[in-house]
Amino acid sequence: MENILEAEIKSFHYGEDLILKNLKMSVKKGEIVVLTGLSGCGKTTLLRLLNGLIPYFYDGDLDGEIKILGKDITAYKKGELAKYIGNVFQNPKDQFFCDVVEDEIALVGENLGLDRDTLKEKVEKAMDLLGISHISKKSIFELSGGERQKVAIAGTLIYDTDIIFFDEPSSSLDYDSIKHFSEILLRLKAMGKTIIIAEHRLYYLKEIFSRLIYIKDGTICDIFPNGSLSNDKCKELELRTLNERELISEKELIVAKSYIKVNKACIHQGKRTLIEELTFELGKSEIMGVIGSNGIGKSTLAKALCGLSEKYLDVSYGQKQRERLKNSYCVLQDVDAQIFLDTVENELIFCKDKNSESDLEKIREYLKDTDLWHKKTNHPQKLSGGQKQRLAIITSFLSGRKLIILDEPTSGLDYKSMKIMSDLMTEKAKEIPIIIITHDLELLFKTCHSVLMLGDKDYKKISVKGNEALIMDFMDKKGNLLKEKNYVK
Amino acid sequence: MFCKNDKKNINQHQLSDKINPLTIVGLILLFSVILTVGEQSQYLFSLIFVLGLLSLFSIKKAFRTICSLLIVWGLIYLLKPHLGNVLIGSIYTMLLIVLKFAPLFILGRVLSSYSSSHLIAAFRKIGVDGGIGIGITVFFRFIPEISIRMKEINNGMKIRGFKASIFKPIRTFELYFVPLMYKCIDISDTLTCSIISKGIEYDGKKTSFHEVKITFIDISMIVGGMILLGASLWKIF
Repeated sequence: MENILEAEIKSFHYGEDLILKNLKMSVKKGEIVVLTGLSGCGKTTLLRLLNGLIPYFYDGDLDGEIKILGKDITAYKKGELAKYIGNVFQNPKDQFFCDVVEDEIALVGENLGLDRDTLKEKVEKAMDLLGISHISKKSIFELSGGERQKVAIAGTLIYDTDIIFFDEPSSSLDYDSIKHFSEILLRLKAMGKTIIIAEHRLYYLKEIFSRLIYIKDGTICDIFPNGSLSNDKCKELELRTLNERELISEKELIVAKSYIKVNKACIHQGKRTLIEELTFELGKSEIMGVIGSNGIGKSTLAKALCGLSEKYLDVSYGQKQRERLKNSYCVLQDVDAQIFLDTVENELIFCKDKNSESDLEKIREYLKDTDLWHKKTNHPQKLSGGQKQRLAIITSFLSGRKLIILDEPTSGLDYKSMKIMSDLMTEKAKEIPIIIITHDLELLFKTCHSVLMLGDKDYKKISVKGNEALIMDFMDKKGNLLKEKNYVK
Repeated sequence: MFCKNDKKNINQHQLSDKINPLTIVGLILLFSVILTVGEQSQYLFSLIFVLGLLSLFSIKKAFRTICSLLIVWGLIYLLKPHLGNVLIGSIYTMLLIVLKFAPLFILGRVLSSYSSSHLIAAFRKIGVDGGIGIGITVFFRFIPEISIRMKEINNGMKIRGFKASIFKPIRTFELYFVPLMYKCIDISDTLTCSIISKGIEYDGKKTSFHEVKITFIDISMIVGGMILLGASLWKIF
C-alpha cells in the first residue's frame, strides 16, 4: 500500500528549545495511527508539523521534510491542504467559526469553492452519516461535547479529505460519547480514511488502531502494531490503561463518622429538575466519585453544593447559598475562570488573608509536588492546561474550606500527571472530604473510596472496592442499570 | 439564520433571507453620521425605526431594550439637578452618550443575530473576502462567547471569594478583564488554526452555503437612511 504521509525530521526547534529530533515515520492509506506519550513529549508539535499548521501558523525551525501524498508539504499553495487534510482539535467548541451546525460543516466546502447544490448535498450526507441531521439548525453553543465532536468530524467529510487528524479527542467526552466516537472511527476507516490521533486514553482505541507510536523526549521510542502492546507494557511506559475492565480499586471504604450530610437535595437547571431528593453522607477522610452520563446534572450538582446555585439546600455545612460558598470550594471544569492573580505563587498566597510560616511551607511543598516550583513567578494564565489544572486544585486545598469538589480534574491528563493528582487528593482527604466528578475510571479506581452513580431517574452511593464490575456496567449502560440491578452498599 | 430558539426559527429565518446583513452595516454607517449631526426629530425617528427593526427579529429583545432605555432616561432625569458634583456629572455624561447612540447599539444587536455564515456570504457577495469580512464575522462570533465566559469568571470569583465593587473599579476591571482576555486569546488561537486548516486562505473561487440577495426591502431601508442623512445635513448647512 502506498505511503500517504511521510515525515523525516532531523530536528525541530521552537526558539532555542529542541522539541523533536531524529524522527522518521510514514503512514499508509487507510491506517489508524495513534501518537502517545507523556505530556510535553512532542506529540502535539508533531501533529502540527504533519497537518501543516507549522509553519503556516506556528513558528519554528524544521530541519527535515514532510510529504503529504508524495508532495512536500511546503509545496502546497495556501489553503490547498484543506482538500487533503481534516482536523479535529482538542476542544471542538473553540474551533467553530460559524454559530450554526450546518453552516460550520459547510465552511470548508465554501472556502474550496464547491457549488451550492453539491455543498448542500454533501452537508446532508455528512450529517446523515454521523447521525446529527436533527441538530442541523442548532447553535453550536447548545451542543453537548459528543455532538460538537461529530460536527467537527462532519466538516472533514465535505471535501472527501484523505487524512483526518485528531488532537486528544476523548478529553471533552463522557464515557458513552467515547464509545460512540470509537464506532465513528471504525466507520471512517471503512471509508478508506487515514486517521492520526494524538491521545492519552488508549482503552477505546485498542481494537481499532493499526499502529501505536510511543514518543518520548521528542523522538519515536517504540512502535506497536495492533495486538503487540500489553497492559503491563503500558504500565511500564506510564501510559493510560489499555483495558479498563482490568482496573481494580486501590481504596477501601472508610467507615467513619459522618462529616458532611446532604438531605433530600433537589437540583434544578432553570425550571427543570435534574436530580430529585438526593441524600448522602460523607465521612471526614472520604473521597467520593460522582459518575453518570453528560447532562445528567453532575456539574449542576457541584455548583449547587458549593453555593453557586440553589438558594436553599439541606446540607450540613450551610443551608443558605452564602454559607455554602464560604464553607466549600469547587474547582470548575474550565479552570481559566478561577485564576486571577499575576503570578503562580501569588495565586496561592492570596488563598488566605494572612499566611503563617507553616502555610508558606505548605505552598512551597505543593508547588514542588505538582512540578510548578520552577513556574512560581510565571503568569498563571500562561501555564499549560495540565499545569493550570494542578494550580487550581492546590488553590482549593489551601482554601481552608470544609468540603472540596473537583469537576473533571484529570480530563486530558496523562497517566503520570493523573497519578500526581491522585496522590495529592489522597493526602488532602486526610483532613477533609473530597467529591470528584469524573468520567476517568482510572482516577476513580485509584482515588475514590465511594462512588455516587447518577442515573436518569435514580441514584445510588456504593463502595468502589468490590463493585468494580458494577461500576463498569453502569458506565456502559448508564441509568437503566440502576433499575435492573439491586446494588448492595 | 437564527438558531437561538427553535420555535422562532421559521419567522427569523424568513427575515434574515429578506434583509441583507450588509443593509444593517450600511444603516450603522449612515446612522453614526445622523446621530452625530442630526437634531432631536431625526434622533427620535432613528430610535423608533431601529426598535421596530429589532422587534421584527425578536420582540423579547426589543422589549428589554425599551426597558433599558427607559431606565437610562430616568437616571438622566434624576441626575440632572445634581450636576455640580464631578462624579455625578461624569455618570450623567456617560448615560447621555449611551442614550444618544442607542440606535447604533441596537443595530449592532440586530447584526449579531445573523449567523456567521450569512455575514461572510454577504461580504463575499460584494467582493470583501479578506480580513475585513472575516474580522467583522469573528467579532460577532465572540459576542455570545464573551457573555458565557463572563458568567464563568463571575462563578470563579464567587468561589475564590473575590468581590466586584464599584468602589474599586480598577480592581474589578482587572478581575474580569485578565482571565477574559487570556481566554479570548486562547480561543482565537484555536479558531485561527481551525479556519486556516479549513482553507480560508485558499486562493481559488469561493462559494456560499446560503444565498444572500439584495431585495426591495434592503434598497428601501438604505434609501430611507440616506434621506434621513440628507435631512440632517441640510439642517446644518
